[in-house]
Amino acid sequence: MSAIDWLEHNLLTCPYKSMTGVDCPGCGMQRSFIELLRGNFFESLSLYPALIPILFTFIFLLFHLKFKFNNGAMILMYSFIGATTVVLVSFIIKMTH
Amino acid sequence: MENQNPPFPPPPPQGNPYQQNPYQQNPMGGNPMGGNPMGMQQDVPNHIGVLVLGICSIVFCWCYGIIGLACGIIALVLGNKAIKMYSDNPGVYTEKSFKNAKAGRICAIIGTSLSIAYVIFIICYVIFVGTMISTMPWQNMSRY
Repeated sequence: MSAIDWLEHNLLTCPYKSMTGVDCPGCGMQRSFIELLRGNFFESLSLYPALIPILFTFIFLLFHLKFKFNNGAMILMYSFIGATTVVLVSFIIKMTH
Repeated sequence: MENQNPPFPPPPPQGNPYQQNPYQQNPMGGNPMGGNPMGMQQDVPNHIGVLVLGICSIVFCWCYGIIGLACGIIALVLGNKAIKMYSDNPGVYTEKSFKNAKAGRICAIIGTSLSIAYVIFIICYVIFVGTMISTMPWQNMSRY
């Protein structure tokens, strides 16, 4: 628990947001990750919906490099496209609201 | 009139440079027909790097998009090279690594285009704010 608290107090600030005050497409990822570490699944989703697809893609990439699945590259590609779509849609929704 | 010959050396013979690569880069001794006498296929070069960098190009979309742009462009260049080498003689390289390189290249294309769009957005934003601040009638406002 203390490690999560330490992480929460040492978040990296987004240089773009500190300059302009407008969110960038990656803003909220660290807060969302900390909520995920605490086990608050839905709060993590509402803070940054694209974190879970991105994490899935990344972890699947590591497993694919280790075990070399047959259709791993294709699955990776589609999950990447899905994660990108979620990033874009959530960013547009965040900007327009 | 005395110097008939141009000073630069004659141009190299025309041809695809990638077609000569398998001779040099295949230590197992691949033959020019594309088959491998040892029965061993090697991986397409950099296929893991292309995949990892292509996926990293969207993970690092923050921080002005510069890291994502760099990752994406590197993955794009490496992936194009790997795919060209594979298509020149497909028998030498394993199919699995080629699939990796192809998927990584598609990821890199998406990530790079998004990063470029984001960088253009930032530049437009800075120009917009800059013009707004510089054209604001500050002298008139100071009266009130």
